[in-house]
Amino acid sequence: MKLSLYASASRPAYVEQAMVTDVDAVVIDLEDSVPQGEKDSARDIAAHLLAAQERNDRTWVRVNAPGSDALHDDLEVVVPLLTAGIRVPGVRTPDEVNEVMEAVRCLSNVSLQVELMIENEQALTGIPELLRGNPEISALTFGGSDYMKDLGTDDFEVIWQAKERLVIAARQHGLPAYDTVFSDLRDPAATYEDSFQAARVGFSGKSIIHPAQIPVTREAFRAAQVS
Amino acid sequence: MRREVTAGTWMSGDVLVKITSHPRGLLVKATSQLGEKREERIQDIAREFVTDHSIGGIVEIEDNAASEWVIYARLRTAARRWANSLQAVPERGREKA
Repeated sequence: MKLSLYASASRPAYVEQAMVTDVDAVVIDLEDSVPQGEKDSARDIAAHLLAAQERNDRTWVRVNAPGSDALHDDLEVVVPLLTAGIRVPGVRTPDEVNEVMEAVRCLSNVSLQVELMIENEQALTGIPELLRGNPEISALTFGGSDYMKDLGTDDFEVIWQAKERLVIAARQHGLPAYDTVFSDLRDPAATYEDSFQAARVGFSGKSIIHPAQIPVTREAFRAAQVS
Repeated sequence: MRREVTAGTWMSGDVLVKITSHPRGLLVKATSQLGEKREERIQDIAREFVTDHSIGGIVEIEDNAASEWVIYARLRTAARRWANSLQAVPERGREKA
């Protein structure tokens, strides 16, 4: 099971706290958690953190989505410094994915992994085309709130059906699928329930937004696997 | 015309860097919750950085127990914003940096 902890690059103290946890990956976020006017400073935080680390093999970066003005600069600055991988949110078309992959190949000296975030129906139905010719894509992750926005629904049954489709599509391509975050930090019982269900659906891991979610998420996955 | 750029925050584990135009050139000031030695260290880092980047003006750094890599990152952002602010000023009104 892979546990990935998001840390906003606009909050360096959070990033440092994330680095001392025992998660499998720390994902430095340049996207949703960073205000539009602070994209440049967040990128600098990510770059200097990566440069300062002796080993950064569990440090990932979530770049901005295709179509955003910030994506090109994100890739140019962080990819040469990374040894683990990037998360790419908001993809819709093969052209968008291919453009990112081309940039990654040009800018990285290592075989960097790429996790594609599936956050809309167009991407979910087009997974085979998004993956074609891109062996660096190492996993698919689900982006829950953006998917809900895309569909214009808050029906969780619809969301879980989409999650099942994602897991099946990932399996068909021999890839793991990782579940989206659970945002209510004050409700560990609901966090457990959400993680348990994710494991039962077949996700191989989950993203979290706070270190407090580490033990409960791990425990839920463990319980789901033995039950 | 007075120019000013900032980078960073007052939050714990961060620094706030402010660069303000000043006719008499470079002045670096640092304050830190961690005391005088820390302030001296930050001043050394900042002085070297701004000299390397040809920044003139008053450079103020307020430290709230940030790591050195954070200080460098915030200086980098402030330097870029400073350079961009120079480009934004029409040639006639540009001050001596």
